[in-house]
Amino acid sequence: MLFIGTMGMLVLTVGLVLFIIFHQRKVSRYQRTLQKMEEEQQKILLDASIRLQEEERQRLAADLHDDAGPLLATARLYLNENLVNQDKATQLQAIFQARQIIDDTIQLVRNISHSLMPPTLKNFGLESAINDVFQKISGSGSMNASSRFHDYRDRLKPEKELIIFRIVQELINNILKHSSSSFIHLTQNVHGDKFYLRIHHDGRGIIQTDFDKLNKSNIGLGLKNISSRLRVAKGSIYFEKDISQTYYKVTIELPKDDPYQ
Amino acid sequence: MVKIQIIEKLFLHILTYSYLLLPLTFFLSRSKRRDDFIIGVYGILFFILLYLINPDHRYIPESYTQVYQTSYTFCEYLFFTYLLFRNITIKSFRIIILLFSIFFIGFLLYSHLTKSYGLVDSIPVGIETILIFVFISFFFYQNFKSTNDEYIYTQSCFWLSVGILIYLGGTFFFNILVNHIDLSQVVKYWFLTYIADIIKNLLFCISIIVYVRTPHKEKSLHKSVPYLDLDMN
Repeated sequence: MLFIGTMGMLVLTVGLVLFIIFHQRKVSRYQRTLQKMEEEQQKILLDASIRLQEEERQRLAADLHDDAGPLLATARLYLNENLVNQDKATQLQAIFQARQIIDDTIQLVRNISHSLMPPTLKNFGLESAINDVFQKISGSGSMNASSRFHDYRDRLKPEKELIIFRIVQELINNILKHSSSSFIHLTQNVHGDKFYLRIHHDGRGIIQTDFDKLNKSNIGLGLKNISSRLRVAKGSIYFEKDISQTYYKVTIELPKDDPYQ
Repeated sequence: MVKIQIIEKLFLHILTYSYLLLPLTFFLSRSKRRDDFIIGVYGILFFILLYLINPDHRYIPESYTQVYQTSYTFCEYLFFTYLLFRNITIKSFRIIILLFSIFFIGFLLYSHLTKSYGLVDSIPVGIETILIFVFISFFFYQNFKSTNDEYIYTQSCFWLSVGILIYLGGTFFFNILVNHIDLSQVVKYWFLTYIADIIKNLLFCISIIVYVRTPHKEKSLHKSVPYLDLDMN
């Protein structure tokens, strides 16, 4: 009886353990399949929405640049002809003012166009585009900004460059808006099959736990946008404070793809 | 009968020294986890406890048998419960474990002071077994509820739980019936409890190894990438 009872208990125990293992395996497999499907669906949606957004921006840029600019320039010419019958002083005054306004408008339209789709990025690549942005910030005198690319001999694909550029733009905007820092510095390098960008600043910043929290909350749309873009590019981002506690670091890691010709 | 006693002695020896595998695995695996350290301590303590009652050189006087039995049950309950408690995160379960533990320790003391045990302290051990079974079911329930898609056997606590389950399952009948059946029957099959105990120790070793071999997430990314950090000098 003792032997049978003990063996019975052991068999029951082993049976229970096996049941738990198999049941949990089944549940895990089901969950993984669901998660994979969900991730794929999300990636498709994100991809579509980002592509649509970029296409729209490109179209807007083209419209503003190719249509609005020449139209305004022509208006300036018409303005000249209508003023023929006026006295000379008035004519000169009006022409001067009209020209100035139109010039400003052309400049404005050009600026909008450039902000929507930076031509430097399209024509000269990520390094030039980012250097350009940093030079502009530094030139404004509000902050000391610099960037350094250590290894960008092989350009990334244009769509990836665009994603990185938008992320950097978003991060810089946040730093300018919220951090009150005195400097911002960007470094780039590649290591193994990974591409890295790191931004440093000495103002108020966030660390990874804050980023994760903001990502889950209803606020922080810009940060969510960064996450979405990174998910499409299969990249990751890490927010941390330096060991010296004097500045914040934001590191972007992306898989390095085949060199872009 | 002599043959059976030799087999029993052999298994008792194997069991006693199998407890040393626990601290050995802890040191060799270089685990820094508190759970694994506790398992190591458990191994050393129970090696000493079993060594003290080895029939070849029994160091515990007969008059202290009941104190020994109570201490053994108390330590065993404490170690098992502590290890499970650390791996159960649901608050209500943790409160239940604490309440049951207070009740059990109180009962153990009461039982020690008011009752005299036979070969084994059947009632406290029986209650201990049932309580630990309940706590293990809490752990499995928590796992079923979890959305974590990792397989259960990649968790070190799973191996701990299986070890405890097999040990308690294998000894439950003996501990309950030992004072009510013929001694020759008990002696004949006593070694089965030792086998269950040895299996438990092996599974505890596996739990340490599983923890060490499981990759843990890096806290910070790419510390070693050159030229990414600011040169502050």
